[in-house]
Order: sequence, then structure tokens, then C-alpha cells
Amino acid sequence: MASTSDIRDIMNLGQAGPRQPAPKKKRQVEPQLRMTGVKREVQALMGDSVPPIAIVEQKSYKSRPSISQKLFKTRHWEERPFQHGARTDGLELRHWKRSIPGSNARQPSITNAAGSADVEMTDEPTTPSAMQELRFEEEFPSHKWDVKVQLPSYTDEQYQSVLKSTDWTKEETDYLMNLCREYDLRWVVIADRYDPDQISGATQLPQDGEANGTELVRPSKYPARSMEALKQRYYAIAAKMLEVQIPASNMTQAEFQLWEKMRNFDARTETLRKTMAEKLFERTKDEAEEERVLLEELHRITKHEEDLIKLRAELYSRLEPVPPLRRNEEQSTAVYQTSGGLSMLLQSLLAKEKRLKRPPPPNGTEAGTASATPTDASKHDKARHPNQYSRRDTMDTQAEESGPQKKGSTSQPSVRVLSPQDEARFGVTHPQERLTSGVQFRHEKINRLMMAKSQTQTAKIQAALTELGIPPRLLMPTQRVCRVFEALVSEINVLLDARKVNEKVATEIKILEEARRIRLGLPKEEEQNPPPAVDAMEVDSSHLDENSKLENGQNHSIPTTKKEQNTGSGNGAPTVKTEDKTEDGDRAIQNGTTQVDRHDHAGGDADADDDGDDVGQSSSLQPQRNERRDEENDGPEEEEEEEEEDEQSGPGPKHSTRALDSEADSSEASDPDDESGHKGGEQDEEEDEDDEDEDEDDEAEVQATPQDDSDVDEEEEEDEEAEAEAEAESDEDEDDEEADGSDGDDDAEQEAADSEGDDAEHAGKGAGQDEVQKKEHLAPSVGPRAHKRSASVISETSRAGSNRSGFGRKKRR
Amino acid sequence: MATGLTSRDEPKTAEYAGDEVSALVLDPGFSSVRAGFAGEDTPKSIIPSFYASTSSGRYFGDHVIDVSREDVEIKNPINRDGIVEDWDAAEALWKHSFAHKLTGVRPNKALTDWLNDPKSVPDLQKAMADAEDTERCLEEHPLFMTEPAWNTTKNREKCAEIALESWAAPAFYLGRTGVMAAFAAGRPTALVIDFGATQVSVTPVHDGMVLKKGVMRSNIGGNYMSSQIRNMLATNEPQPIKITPHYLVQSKQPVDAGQPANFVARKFPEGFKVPQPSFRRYQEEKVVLEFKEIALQAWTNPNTPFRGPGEAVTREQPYAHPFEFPDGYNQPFSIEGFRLVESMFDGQCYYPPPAGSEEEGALYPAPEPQGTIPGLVKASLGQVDVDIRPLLLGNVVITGAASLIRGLPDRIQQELTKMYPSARVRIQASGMSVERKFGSWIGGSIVASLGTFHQMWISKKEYEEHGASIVEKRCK
Repeated sequence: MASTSDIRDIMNLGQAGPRQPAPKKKRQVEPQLRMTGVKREVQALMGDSVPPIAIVEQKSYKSRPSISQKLFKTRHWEERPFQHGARTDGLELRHWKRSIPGSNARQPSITNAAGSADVEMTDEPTTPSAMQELRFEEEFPSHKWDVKVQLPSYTDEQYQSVLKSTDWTKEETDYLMNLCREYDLRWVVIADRYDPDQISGATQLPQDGEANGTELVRPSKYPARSMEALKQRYYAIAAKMLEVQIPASNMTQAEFQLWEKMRNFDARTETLRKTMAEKLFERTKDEAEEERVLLEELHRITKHEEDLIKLRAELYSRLEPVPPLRRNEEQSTAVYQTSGGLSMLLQSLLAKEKRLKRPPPPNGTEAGTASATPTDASKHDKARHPNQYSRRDTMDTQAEESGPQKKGSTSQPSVRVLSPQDEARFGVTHPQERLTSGVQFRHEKINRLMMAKSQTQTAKIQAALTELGIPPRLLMPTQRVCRVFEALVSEINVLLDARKVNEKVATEIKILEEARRIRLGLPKEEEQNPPPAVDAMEVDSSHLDENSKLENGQNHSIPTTKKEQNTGSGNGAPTVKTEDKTEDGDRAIQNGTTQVDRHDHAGGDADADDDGDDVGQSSSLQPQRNERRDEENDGPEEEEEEEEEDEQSGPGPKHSTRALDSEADSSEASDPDDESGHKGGEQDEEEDEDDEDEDEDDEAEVQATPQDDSDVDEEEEEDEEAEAEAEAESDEDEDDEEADGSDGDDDAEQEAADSEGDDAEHAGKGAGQDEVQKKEHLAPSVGPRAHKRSASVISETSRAGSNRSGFGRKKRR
Repeated sequence: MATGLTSRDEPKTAEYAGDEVSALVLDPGFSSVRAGFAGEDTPKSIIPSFYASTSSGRYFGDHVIDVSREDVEIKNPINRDGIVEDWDAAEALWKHSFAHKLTGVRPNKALTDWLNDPKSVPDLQKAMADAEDTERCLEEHPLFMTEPAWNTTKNREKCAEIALESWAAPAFYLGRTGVMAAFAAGRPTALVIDFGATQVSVTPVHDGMVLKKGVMRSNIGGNYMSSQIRNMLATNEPQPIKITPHYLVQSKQPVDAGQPANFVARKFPEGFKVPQPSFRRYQEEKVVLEFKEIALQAWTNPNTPFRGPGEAVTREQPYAHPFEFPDGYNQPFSIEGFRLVESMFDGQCYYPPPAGSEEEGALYPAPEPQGTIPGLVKASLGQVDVDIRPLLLGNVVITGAASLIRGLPDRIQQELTKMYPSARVRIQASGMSVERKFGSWIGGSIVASLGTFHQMWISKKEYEEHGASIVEKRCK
């Protein structure tokens, strides 16, 4: 046991004074304590462990009361008769009373004999010369509680002169006044006891009798009265009598108020109030419940009204575009054309985003992923399915953290694999776009889509949507709906862009024509020729007919893909169908209005080598594409890479495999154009790739909120680099991001893979409805999906391979 | 208009105090008579209202009347409405309740002086007769009596007459059971549901006064329940049960549940005139009472009605209460215990009398909808002013020994809450069975020991001056 000294040692305190002598004492005492015949418990009390009770010697105990001492005497109790103060009949009741201690004076003559055993202790010595009489406690102050109400009284003359009423006889009135006196104006009781049968002649019978006992059969002479009637009569009388006694001018404030109140008593109002109260009281449970709910609702609304308004205002301000960013965007994109610029932009945007949303989570590096993974399930799933983010977050960080000992297990993560059906059920998704930190709402995304670079553009998009009958704010922004909506908006954007370009070109042509006209000194064209723009367009379209078809398909490839994804996931049929329709309609409109644009694009594509010549390209598109091209044709390694990719995953082969698959499944799935393209060898493949690139570009453009734009660009860039790197040095497989497109396709692929039958069906339907054009759309749309699958395979294998020298890849094959 | 005092004036310490004038409180009922001194918390003397009547006279008291005397008859001076019918017997019975144990024999000269000095006795016989005479037994004690709210004027006056003239009480007062029960629960305003033996009554009390128009009663009290139990036993499956009271059982052998009883019946000696049927019935009632205590239970699930789903549920084992009759027959009762109580709320759960005893059953017919407990409360509240209805519902007092059924207060709470969703219903039912059984006596004990009450007494002088009608005037 720890003693005081131990504690002192621990606390670095010096030795306490009394510590030394203590043991000595103990030694001395102990031998003495060995007593026999003393219980152990008692002995234990005698050591130095004295119980912590301060025993103070009490010198002044009260001495034992002793009857022999004259100090004590009995307290005197007496059963005394008394009269109650409120009684007049002289009833004598008896109760026990105690004499007051100081007063007692134990008079022998009175109380000696009584000498009861009731002993009382007093400090006072007996005083022989005590008072002569016992004093007792006061009687109960009964008179104090004998309170009567004061009622107005009237004489016969007064009644005749002032109080006469057609409704009330004097007998009734008297009876009423008596009742009031009897029951002290307790109206509830008075109304209960008012019994017309009890009114007998002029003399009052103040009590009603027994309802049961003296039930009189004769019809009552007087009518029964309600409580209100009784009250009214009484108040009328009281007011009158008050007035008679004291004229209104002489009344005090209180009296006047009383008088006023009594005069203003209205039986009808009172009756009405009572009936209403009764109705309220008789409410059924349902009614009560309903009212309660309504009241609660009202309370809630009023309480939260301000909060709601504030909240809504905040929300709106959030949804509005962020001006500075947009201005930057509008100013020029030239800054972001280099990868450095882009990454800078990305950083700034991320920072901005974080600032806007919330402070980053404590473990900064994982911030994005931690918040971006919606559920554990999805996280696990991601770990399983090679997706850019998930792979990085879970697998790699795991590998990094747990280092060498984890190596064995990395390739086979012990996570539950969700079947696509389960994924659909649990809402597990593999987001294809870069996830920013914090919670995101689909709404926000949609709104971002809607936010074009300029106000007019936005307005145009909205106009287009209105034309299609789609509300700008989606009613049910489920993921699927969002996806389709996104596609739709992207298309609208493309179309709008195209129209803009078209107008621009048209104007330029016009100007040039005008210039030529001036140069040539010709007269004004309007007078002779048709408008030049139309002319040019016609020429264009005739030129590029074949291409346009292809282009058309590609332009639509994204939406269609998405559509198919939807169907692939199994249960989204209704939404998809409606979307289908709108899209068809949309397409029709597009075809009608902006055919020209497509041709322009197509023109650009057709001669991919001389991009620069393409007048129709918008300035923003052009440089990117240039870059793109450049990168693609970068060097020999990359070509090798591509080849490799092609073998298992490259766009070309994918297309072909996919096409073959679909061919096998359903003959309509493949269309001649595509097939020929795929089989046509490298050139075709390249073309395909180009097309796809373009698609991606387009998409990127279309989705062009500032962030997305940059994202996409950067991603693409990094992707390329990273892939290259990954191939070159297989250690570094942490390619940061993969392209958006591939990502999204990945999704699609997974779904599609499982429900190929569905696809085929859908395709068949599509074929049935639309004709060739539709089919054209189909094939490319299938392509990316295949691409996805292979991409996923690659990423997984490459990941596995990064550590394990391609083991995974082999296995995969 | 009231002068001097407002309700905010706090009485001084002394003024709180009761002022005990050694009053006697007498609370006669159909089932038992309670008597005791005011200011105490339980009655000291409780005797059954039943008395044994033989050729040799009347016998009062719990143990005396249980003896199976020759040709004994058990009677009750109170009728099925709770009103006294046989005043002679009632007076004797009531006197027995207090004079025997509480006040004792009035000391007279024969006892104090003459016993030790027989020579000075002028007429010893007469003196001894006087000494045992309890005629003027209440000379020193004011008497506080209770009565049902529907008592007749005549009966009230008779009470006053007995107390003030026969018993020579210095003062007398009649309080109503409903009001007293409310006081016992500490409420001046309350809706008192009194489960008596003969009647279940609902009494609205406002400021310590009964609202007469609101007094509703129905004969679904303890006697009704007994009759229901008899009906149930007589129609029992698999075999009808006949109650054999204890005094008829000489010895018995244990039998399995549901098996016929195996007992030896008691044989009366030759020439012994067996007790009359009323004696047997009274003894059977004791078995029934035991049955009530063991098996009865109120259905308290607010979401499921008893009829239908509740019946199905209560058929199950956990609800079963085994009960053994004096002759050894035993059987578990489950659904019956609920259904019996339910018949106080729902006439459809009534057990019809078995064939052959319709006459007897007709005394206790199935309660009409307005005769059930919720019906009574509804009718009662309908008669009082709407302004105090919520107040009354907030102070519902349940009293009476017949209310000691398990779950009954809960059930009543549910019923009332369902009936009046807009009002807050609060049930005041003491958890102590003594307070529930003797509610009105306790209230009387409180009132009669209050200093302020003493002005209410009807003194002998007043009675002589005004005659018996003063009862009506004073005891409002």
C-alpha cells in the first residue's frame, strides 16, 4: 500500500515531520495490544489506525430527566369545551387543548389531580408564585373563515319600482336570490340546483329538494331557466341595486367597473360562447387531430419562414455564375493552352471550390476521395473495378501505407464484388468526371451545364429547352435523367456553337462577296443573286454529303451511348423513351437548322492534316485540337503504345470487337460504314480515333463550364502522358486521371456487358424505328463502350502489372 | 363582494390545523359499514352490512355471521339501490359498528360507583341493564355520516333522527360519498366515479358540492360483477361450475385442472335446520369475491378492441389465471377475466344468465350503452356546464372497492381520452387499495376534523328548533 511517504516521494516533497516517530510508537504499542478475549474487530480499532472521528469530550450532557427533580412537570392537556366562532346556536364541542408552556403555573387546585403521565421538560425552574390560570392556545380563528358573499337586497317597494320584469315573477326572483346566497354565487351549482318546482309562493324555499324524493308530478308553474338567464337576471338586479344605492356619478372606480360589467352582461353572447365551447369540446378525435396537424404546420411555417427565405436566397446566389471566372474564360483561353496554364487553372479552381464549399478534411491528400465516395460500398466497388480515382484512393494508398507486407494482397483486394444489378440497386456509380471535394448536387451540375459562357448563350440554351418543353430545372434529377439531360444540353451547345460559327462564316462570306463586288465594281447582289450564305451552304452540303453522314452519327454518338447505358441498367425504360423522343425531335430540329455547321465540322475532320486551314473552326476549338493531334503523333514509342493498346484496348480494335460482337448478336448492330472503317486497317482506325477524339473534344467543349473545360483538357493531356509513362516504366502506374470519356464509357461498358441482350433489343427497336441514320449512331456508340471495357482491363492489369510484372495482365488474358 | 379574504391570503400556521372534536365518521354501504374517528386515516371498525338473522335475534359482525347456525338467514338492510330499507336493522347494524369497538359502553353509576358498593344499589337489575345500554352511545361524539348522492330526503331526515335522538349525538352531519371521495383525493372539484357494490355512480363535484343533475348511476357495480361471474361459471365450458362454499366442504382431494371435484361434503347433524339459501349465497359470494380478486383484469390495449382481436389474444396462455374453488375444482380462466370487466364498457360482452335462472339474471341485465362506464361519464358531463367539463375531466377520481380490478383506471383513462380528445384527461386513482376502498370514509374523516367544518354541524339544538328539515338546508 502506498503510504504518505510514498506519495511524498512521488511528489518530490520533503519528509513530513511526524513521519519518523510514527513507526516507533507503533512498535511500542503493538505488544500491548495482544489482548485476549477481545474481538479482532475491536482490536483493529485500537491500533494507530484510529478511525477518522474526532472524539470531543462532551462535558455538558443533558442530564437524565428525573421526575424527582422539580424541574420537570407534566404538560397540561385538557379536553375543553369550545364554541365555534361562526355558530350562533351555542353548540359546545370539546377538543383537547394544550396549555402554553410559559403560562402553566401548575396550579395545584386545578391540575394537581390530573397529573398525567405526559411528561414535559422545561428549563425554567418552577415558580411557586405562578399565575393563577392556565393559558391555552387560541381557539381556531373560525370567524375569519366564515365568509359570506354580499348580495344586493331589495324591499318590496324597490322591487315594484325598479326591478320589475315581464319575464320574472317576484317569487322566482326571490328564489334566485336565495339560491345565490346559499351557494355563494357559484353559478354552476346554482344552475344545477335551480328547480322551478321548489318555488312556492312568496316565501322562499332556499333549497331545492330531492330530485328523486319529492318528484312532483304536477307541471311546474315556472319555467326552467338556463344559467345565462339566471345570471342575466341576477346581474340586472345587482346593477340596478348598486345604482339605487350609489348614483353612478358617486361610484368609485371599482364600483363603476363592476356596475359596467354587470350592466353589459349579455346572455345571448354567453349562450353563443357556450355552444361554441361545447362544439369544441365535442370534437371527434379526427377533427382534433386534423386541427393539431394544421396548427403545427402553421407554426412550423411561420417559424421557418425567414429561415427558408434566407436559405433560398443563399441557394440562388450559389447557383448563379461566378463572375470572375467567367470573365477570365471569356477573355481568352490562350492562357490555358499550355499544360502549365491548365494545371494552374485547375489548382485555382479547386482552391476556389474548397473555399466555397467547406474546409478540406483533415487528411488533405485524400480530401477529394474521402468526400467524393458516397458510400462504403461504392468505395469497395471502386477498388474492385479499376477506375481512375478509386484505384488511386483505395488500392494505391493502401499499398503505399502498408508498404511491403501488403504486396501479396494488393492484387486481390478482399472486397465484395457487386454485381451490376446490385450496383444499380444500391446506386453505386463510378463517376466519370473529376470529383471535386465536398458534397455535390446533381442540380449543381445541371446548372453548370446550363451556364454558358455568356448570358445570351445561356438564354439561347434555355430557349431551346423551352422549345423542347423541358423545364430548365429538372423535376427529378436522378442520375439517369441527369445524364440524358447532360447529353441533350451538350448537343444544344454544339448546335448553338455551330450556328454561331455558321453565322460568322456567312457574314465573312458576305463581306468577302461584298468586297469582291466592290473590287469588281459589280452592282449590288441582292438585286440579282440569291443570298450568298445560302449559296455557300448549299455548295458545302453537296460537297460533304458522305462525311456529313458519318459526322452526324458521331455527333450523336454521345447521346446515344448514354441512352444505351440507361437501357442497359435495366429499369430506366420510361425516362429513356421520352428522352428518345425528345432527342429525335431535337435531332430533327438540328438537322433543319444547323446542317451547315455539321458540314463545317466534317470538313475540318475530313482533312485532318490541315487543321489550320479550317476556317469554320472556332478559335477556341482549334488550338486544342492541334495540340491533340500533335500529341498523338508524338513519337515512335507512342505509336507502339497505341499499337499495343490497339491489340487489347485501343479504339480501333475495340470497335471491331464490339462490332463483331454486335454482329454476332444482331446483324443490325453493325453498319457498313463502321465495319469497313474498322477492317480498313490503320488509316481507318486512325480516322476512327480522330473521330473519337473529336467527339471528346466536342464533349469537352460542350460541357464547357470553366472547370470542366479545363479538367477535360488537362485530363486528356495528363492521361496521355501518364499512359506513356505507365507503359515505359511500369512502376509508376498511378496515372492521375483518365479521360472523362473513357471513364464514362467504363460505366457504360460494365452495364452493357451484362445486358448485351438488352442492347441488342434496343438496337433492334432503334433500327425498327429509325432507319439507317439511327444505325449509324449505334455503331459508334457501341464502340466507346468496348473501349471502356478494355480500358478498365488495362488499368487493372497495368496496376497489377506495375508491381508484379504483368502477372495480372497475363491472367486477364 | 367577498370581504376580507382573497384566495391569495395565506392562512397562518395555526389556521391550517385540523380541529378534532372526536367526531365519529360512519360510512355505511351495501357491502360494509365503515366507522372510525375523524382525523384518522383508515376506519377502525369495518363490518359487513350483512347480518345474520335467526329466531333468537340478529348477529352483526364479520365472524359471527359466517357461522352456519340453525335456520340462519343473511339479510341486508340496504336495498339494491344503496338506499336503506330496513331502518331497525340498519340502526342496530350501524350502532354495532361503532358502539362495539369505538365508543364502548357509556359509563354509568352502576359501573363506576355501585360495583364496589352493592349495598348502595337501589335496583341492581335495572342499573346493569342501563350499563349495557348503548342507547345513548354517541353523547360525546358528533356523528358524521355519508350517504349516496341519490339518497331520499326522507332517508336523510331519518338518519338525523337516529343520530340526534336515538344515539344522542351532540351534532350531526350528512356528507355525500362522491364529495367525500373527492376530498379524499384532495380535489374540491372532481368527477367521481364510484364503484360501489350496488351501483357505479358518476358524480360531478364542484367546489365541494354535488351537481345533482349530473349524478348518473348504473347497477354495474360489484353485485353485477358477481352475477356476471355466476353466469359465466354456470355456462362454463367444458362443464358448468357450481360453487360449493367453504362451509359445505368437509375435506377435499386435489384434482387436475378441469377434472371434477373430489370432496366430502359436510353433513349437518340430524334435526339441524340447515341455513337458509341466503346464507349459502352469502358464502358463495365470498368465493366469487376471491375469484374477482384473482381473475378479473381490464383490457388495456388502446389500439385493439377487446371484442374480436382482444379475445383472440387473451385466449393465450400468459393471460390465464388458475382458480381453485373450495371443493378443489380448478381451472384456468383467461378470456373470461377480461370479458367480465369488458361488459362494464361494452354491453355486448355481457354473459347472459344460464337457462333456468333468467329471473335472477334479470336483476342484472346487460348494461345499455348509456349505462356503461363511458356512457355514464358522457351523460354526466352532458348535464354540467360546458365551462367546467375540462376541469372535471382533469380530475377524474376513481374510488370504491369494486374499482380494484387490475388495469381498470388505465382502461377508463383510455376510454375518456378517446371520447374527449380535446380535453386533458387525468385519472386520480390511488394505488393503495385501502384508500380506494374507504375513499368516502377518508374524505369524511378529513372534513370532520377540519376547524372550518365545525360551523356546518347540525347541532341538537338546531334540530330541535327547525326539525328534521334542517338536514336538507344544511347538508347541501
